[in-house]
Amino acid sequence: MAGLKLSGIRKSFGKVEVIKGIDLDIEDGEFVVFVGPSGCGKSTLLRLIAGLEDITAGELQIDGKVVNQVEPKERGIAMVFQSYAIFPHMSVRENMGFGLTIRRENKAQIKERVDEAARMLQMEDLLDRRPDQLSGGQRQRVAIGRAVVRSPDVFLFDEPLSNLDAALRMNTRMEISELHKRLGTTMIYVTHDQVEAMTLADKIVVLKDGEVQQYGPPMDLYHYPANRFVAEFIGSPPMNFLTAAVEQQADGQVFASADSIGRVSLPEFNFVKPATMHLGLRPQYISLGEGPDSHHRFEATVGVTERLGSETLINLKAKDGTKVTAVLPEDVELQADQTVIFNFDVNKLRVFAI
Amino acid sequence: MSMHTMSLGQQSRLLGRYLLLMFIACIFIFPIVFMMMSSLKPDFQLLSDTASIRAFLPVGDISLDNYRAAFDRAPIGLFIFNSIFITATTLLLSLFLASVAAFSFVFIDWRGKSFVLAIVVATYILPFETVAVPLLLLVNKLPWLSSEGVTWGWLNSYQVQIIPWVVRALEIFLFVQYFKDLPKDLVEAARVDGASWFQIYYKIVMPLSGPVIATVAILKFLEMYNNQFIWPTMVVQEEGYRPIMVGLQYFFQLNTPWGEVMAYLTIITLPVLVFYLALQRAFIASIASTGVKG
Ligand SMILES: Nc1ncnc2c1ncn2[C@@H]1O[C@H](COP(=O)(O)OP(=O)(O)OP(=O)(O)O)[C@@H](O)[C@H]1O
Ligand SMILES: [Mg+2]
Repeated sequence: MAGLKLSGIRKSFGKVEVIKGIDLDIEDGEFVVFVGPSGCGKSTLLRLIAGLEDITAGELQIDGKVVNQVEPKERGIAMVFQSYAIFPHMSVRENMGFGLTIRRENKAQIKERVDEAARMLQMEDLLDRRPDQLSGGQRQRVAIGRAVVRSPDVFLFDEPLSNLDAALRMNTRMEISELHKRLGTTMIYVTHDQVEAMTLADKIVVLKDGEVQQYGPPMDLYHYPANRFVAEFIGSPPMNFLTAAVEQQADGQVFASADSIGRVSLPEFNFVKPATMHLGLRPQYISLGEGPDSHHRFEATVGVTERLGSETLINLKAKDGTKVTAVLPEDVELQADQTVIFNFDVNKLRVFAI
Repeated sequence: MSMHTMSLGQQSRLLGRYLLLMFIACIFIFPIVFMMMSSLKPDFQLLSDTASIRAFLPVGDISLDNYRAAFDRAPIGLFIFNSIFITATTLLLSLFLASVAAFSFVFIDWRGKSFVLAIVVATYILPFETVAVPLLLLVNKLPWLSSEGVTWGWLNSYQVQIIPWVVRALEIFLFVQYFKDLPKDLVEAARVDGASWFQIYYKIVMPLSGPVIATVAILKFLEMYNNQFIWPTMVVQEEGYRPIMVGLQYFFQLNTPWGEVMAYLTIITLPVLVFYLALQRAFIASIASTGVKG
């Protein structure tokens, strides 16, 4: 059990800086997900925490102690690798007991703890197999089991699901979530999949080019993305962006004028200087028709319709040609090239600097 | 329908391939058969047989006389013991030290390691002959701790035939190449799980290195058992420490007794065959996986 504190963490490989000053407080027992596009430094940050890479600058604390110079094995962490990193010359049981065997724990106790972890992960029948007799999903279990057996203070996962097929990925995702509930241990989880991030995390860290874009609970990031990057990255399909001139009226009210959707009031905004900005609108908040009076309305031409079963994605073209995606109910019927009225709640609009 | 039906063309191509392989096998086997058959024949028949197929057949005046004479001429058992002892000791030390060095080059971060590795590998281009004389001067002045206390100079000993050969660039290079291809995650997983570097070496890396261990073992065996001639001739004058190849000189005199030479060669080849057969499967696997040809 341990919390973590990262202060001004930096990492350079040669002259290239890939982690550019990261501050994070991770509380004991939290499930934190690092998410971001490929190459943004997620794995590097995780490896810095694990002690597999040296920290170039800044301070890392685990459970209140500075561990910059502490060997990985002394940090109280266990790590699950993307490749699973199962030792091919050992049986599943030997793999899972490896950490304890290395520490010369007594044999009976090792057996007991391996059995217990295997029960928890429902893999008792795999214990005597060799790794080459396992499927991808089973290897994944062994890798998680090896971490569980050590009962670490912090679990680190580096894209543990990326080699599994879609169905297995969803199952395992839920199992990891359950594991967290049961153990209550701090977990740090790296992924580039925003669905995994949203479903697993107590808090999400969105990374881009080695910098934190935003850190907070999933729904905060969804509703109040700190910038356009986060807005685009979290939520699917991605948020719509409309260019608009934002200005303040004499009476203090703020309005945005966009060629695509006309003039909209921004009730949540106390604006100062007029500027061109981006309005962000999630596809889920657009509905068909006039809607309630408080809603803003706009006209658009219907493009391609994609039926996903539970919902329908419609690609729209606003008056000025801006492309807008809307998520509508499954039974919606719209003809291509038809011009239709849509509406949305102005309180759902987000405003971003360009 | 049988899965094994082959067209006539496929069959004849397969036949052709087998014939070619048999032909190549014969090229390698004939000298050995020749050696063994000749060791059973008196010299005059041996020389006249070379003109015909009889050279490869146990025909004519067959006996073990050559073997008896060879054992009378030279202390063959001693030479074989010396060679096997020198080879085995060098082999074990070499496997251990070269793999430890390579482990450090590949898995541990330390300043200047690529520079050091480059220098180590560069020494491979020096033929042994170029360093032989400086090495002789060096070993002549080195101390050794024995039951008689500290002695100076290594001439006429086992260690002078072992230590200079223990670690050479090729073995380190082979291990380095092999280790580089091992998944780094395995080493990192072991580190996170609490293994020390030495535990990672012998619990993770070495158990996965069978093929390269076999390759290095065979190359080292051949180098030490078959090819030790110049250096022992330079540093060993006493019969008691001589290896087999120096022993061969006992047979090359004014009238070379060819039958005895063949008998001697047959005897000293036996350990090679035993060693090779023992490691055969691992060796073939290693050639297939590392692409190194001996
Ligand atoms: N050992 C290294 N030496 C040099 N550069 C490195 C090293 N490891 C990572 N990098 C660089 O650091 C950057 C971040 O890499 P990292 O592996 O952390 O990305 P990531 O966010 O995990 O990406 P992915 O989603 O593809 O796994 C990349 O530009 C990468 O090329
Ligand atoms: Mg990564």
